[in-house]
Amino acid sequence: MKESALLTLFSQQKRSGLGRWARWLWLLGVSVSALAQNPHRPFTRLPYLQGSSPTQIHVLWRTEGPIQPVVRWGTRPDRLDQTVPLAAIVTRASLGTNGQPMLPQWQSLRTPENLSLPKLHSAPIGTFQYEAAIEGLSPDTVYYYGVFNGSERLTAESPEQRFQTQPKPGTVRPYRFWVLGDSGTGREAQRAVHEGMQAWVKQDGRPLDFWIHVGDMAYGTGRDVEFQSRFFESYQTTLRNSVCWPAMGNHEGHTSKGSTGIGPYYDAYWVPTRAESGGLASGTEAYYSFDHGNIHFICLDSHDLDRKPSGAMAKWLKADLEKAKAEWLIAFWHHPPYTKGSHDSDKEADLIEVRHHLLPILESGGVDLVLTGHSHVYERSMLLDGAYSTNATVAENFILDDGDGDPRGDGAYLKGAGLRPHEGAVQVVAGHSGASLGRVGTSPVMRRTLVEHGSLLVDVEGDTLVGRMINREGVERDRFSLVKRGAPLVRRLSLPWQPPEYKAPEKATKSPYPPPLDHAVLIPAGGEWRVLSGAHPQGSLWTQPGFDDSSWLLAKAPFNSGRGRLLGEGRASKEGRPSLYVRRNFTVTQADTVTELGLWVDYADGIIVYLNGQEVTRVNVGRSSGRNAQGIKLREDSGAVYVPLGSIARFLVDGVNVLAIECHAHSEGSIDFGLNPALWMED
Amino acid sequence: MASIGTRIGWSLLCAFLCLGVARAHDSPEHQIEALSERLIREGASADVLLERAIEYRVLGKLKEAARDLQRAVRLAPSDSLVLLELAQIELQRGRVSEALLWARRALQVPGLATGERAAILMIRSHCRAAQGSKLEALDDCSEALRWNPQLISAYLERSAWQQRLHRPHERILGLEEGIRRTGAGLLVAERIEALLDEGQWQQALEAIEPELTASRLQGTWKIRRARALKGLSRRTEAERDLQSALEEIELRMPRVVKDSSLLMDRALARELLGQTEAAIQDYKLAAGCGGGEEAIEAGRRLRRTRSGRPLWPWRTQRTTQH
Repeated sequence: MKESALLTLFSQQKRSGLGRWARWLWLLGVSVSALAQNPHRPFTRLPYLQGSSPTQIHVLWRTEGPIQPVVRWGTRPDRLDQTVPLAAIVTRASLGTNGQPMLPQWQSLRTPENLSLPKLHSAPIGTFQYEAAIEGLSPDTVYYYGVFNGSERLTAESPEQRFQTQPKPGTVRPYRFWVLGDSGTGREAQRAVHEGMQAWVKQDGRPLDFWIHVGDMAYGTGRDVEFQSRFFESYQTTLRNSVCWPAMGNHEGHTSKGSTGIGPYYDAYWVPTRAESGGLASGTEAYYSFDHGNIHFICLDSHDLDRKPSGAMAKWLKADLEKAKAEWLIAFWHHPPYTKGSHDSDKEADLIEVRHHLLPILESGGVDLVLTGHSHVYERSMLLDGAYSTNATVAENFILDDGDGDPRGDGAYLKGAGLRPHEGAVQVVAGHSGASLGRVGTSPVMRRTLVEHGSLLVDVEGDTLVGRMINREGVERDRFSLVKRGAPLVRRLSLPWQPPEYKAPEKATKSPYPPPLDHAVLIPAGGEWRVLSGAHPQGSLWTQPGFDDSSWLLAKAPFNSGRGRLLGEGRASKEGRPSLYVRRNFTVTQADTVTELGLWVDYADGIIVYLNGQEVTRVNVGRSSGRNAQGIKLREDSGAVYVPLGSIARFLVDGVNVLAIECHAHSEGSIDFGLNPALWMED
Repeated sequence: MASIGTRIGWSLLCAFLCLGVARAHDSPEHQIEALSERLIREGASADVLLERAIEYRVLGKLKEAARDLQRAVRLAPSDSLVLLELAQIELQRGRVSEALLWARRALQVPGLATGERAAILMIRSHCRAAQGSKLEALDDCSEALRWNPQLISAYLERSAWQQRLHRPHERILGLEEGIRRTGAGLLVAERIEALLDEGQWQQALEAIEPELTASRLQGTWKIRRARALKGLSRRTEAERDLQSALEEIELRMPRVVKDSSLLMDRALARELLGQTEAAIQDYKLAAGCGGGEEAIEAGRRLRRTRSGRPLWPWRTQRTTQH
């Protein structure tokens, strides 16, 4: 609020010569405020682990401005006696472009030396990313690490700041990994799923070895700020001591391209391109493979690369499978070959292509488990092979075991030892880890379909694999098992078990858009606004910065009518239907660090919201605006709801911004007419 | 309006309770609907049009996707992502001259990232290939690699053009450079193919042996070894390899819908065994299930060889040596 007052002073006194002082004070305020907002300073992204092998691991982190990067490591948390050589630390930077407006402190960083560093794409200006490769490690060993700025320790001395190297390839011991997808919303469900998994794992007593994200980790368009708040901050406690192996989702695909290897997704992760963790060198970060003990993992880019067998990715897949000698083969990517969740694999071209072109290669290579997301649901198949049709998927003659796969029920799915072609695979769609759920039908190959938030935990021990769907409450909701032993007879079922037909609810309930979990309040509920009631402003100037609103009433929200009266001071408009116009300034230090803005608002009946003169949201108002607003619907629910504002990246600016809202009643006699807005910023 | 405080609490509760309610909101159709609403509300913007175009593309509505992208280009003429997407869509629609035009415009965008430039050059290469300009297509692959030496697909496509244009020496050198720069396993295999096409049998054999030993699935490598062994006139060993490869392929071949990569292998094995008709049939099947130009061309070549009109003289070597 102090910043806001200073900026108001700055804007008002600009002409009088006091502006310079006000600006100085504002910048001081901004710096103090930035310090207060980021308790991890100088980190803007806390250290996290990437790309491990039996002898190597990568530690990545980001800072605001450069540091003297040092990583120390050792086998005891209080004795980090080894140092990563400076040459093994890659530095990337985001320094803006020539002429781009930026805070003065970043301008000074645009030195020739810094400008020659590899570029971070779309990260906030002033961001430096460090990627340290720790080498010469012993397999299957726990190490501790710390990040320093020269001699100053930046990470706490904590046993949580640790990693475990991979065992030697082929080593048989219990392994546990976590699988999640479509989680990157920054909403409550995402946190609950993470905590549910952590609670289950803690109770079970065996920690994760690593985890897999099957894509859509940064809604809505995979921007750098979305990665920060909706992935890195959300999973920090898991990221600091276990490696996440990622696959790119379609939402990341809006800003990152597999064909160029450029974008925030590619900035965020380090994955093996030269077979550093086993497998066949792919030469690209878009698709890769790695070994972990006796499991071979393959990650594909199902979003924007050629999926045809003649394409480079499919050719690499075939060549990688030729070389894979592990006991287990698990593949993951984003687009599911079979789903009837929020997507339909019989209708969407991407999903059909994956099924038709990539699955035959994998199944003839002996794949055991396929992990995907994209469809916001949990679906788990029976033991399945050969269903590659471009037409509607059918189960007849493609199911090898139609039991539930549960060792406590019909028993585990059985396959022969080693990697054998066409002995069946289990397909899991794990797109239920945070985004709103959905279902359009029932896939005939699925044994279990659950429309609830959760994630998948997979345990592999010798010849047995067990998968468990753990929901947001930390409760196991599905279990299946694969056992690979001997050479069981493969039979195809002509009349396999059929899942019950899904009947969509006649009247689907529309759930409110959930608010962001972590947020800062830019304008509080009950705050002061400039208000115009009982009249309509001319044109759209009133929504823009620089509009002289001094003749408007200064009043505190809520603004409601009571019985036909508005604010006590105002009157219903002469046209009959009550309308209300409010506007107010707010301050944002660095616009490119803001993920999302939204209103926490109680209103009746329709609103149109403007940011710096641009309409960003409207609810319950059909066409036009102001005096001419038409098609105003009655708001049927009541109370405050969260309304996200669209396109803020285009309209939000550093410093002072103007939020303007017009509110219209449904009808002349509307007694519930009113408005109480608060502005939230996803933090 | 009721008391705001109590309503906030109630709404929060409702919001969280309702999260689990089924709602298929993320399908491309729903995305398109939502994006269309945004375009009406906020006015047209290149970002939103690009997003909608991608959703149209997913649904196979290429015409609608192209229309959105053309609008996006008018709003943001220097947005390389939009231009790249538009060129790709037009190429997919078979509108080669339009695709070429957009690719050229994309290449003129100032400050283009090297990776983007390389990707656009590859699209231009595809356009030129579609126009039958082989030399230009090859040049574009080479230029793309100058901008992005990590682009595996460019090495592979350049290799294919060099093969078609009878430049075996350049082809091998180019692939060796790619292996040095990327370490990609695919390029190792392609270099061996180049050695075989060039008739460098002994060198190829030496490169094949360690790969074969390291492989679990050996069919493809055995076929390659058979080619080298035939070249060295070790016919019995070659035939043994081919029979063994065919056994593995049969074991791995799906029952109903075929795997084009396995069909391509089987076709080549059969071709090398002199089973020309069966090989032609396999190439035909492979072409029908995603095998692409490679399968079509191989089938055509074999048919011409059969009728005494070789299309690719440099590849008849291995068929005439049976």
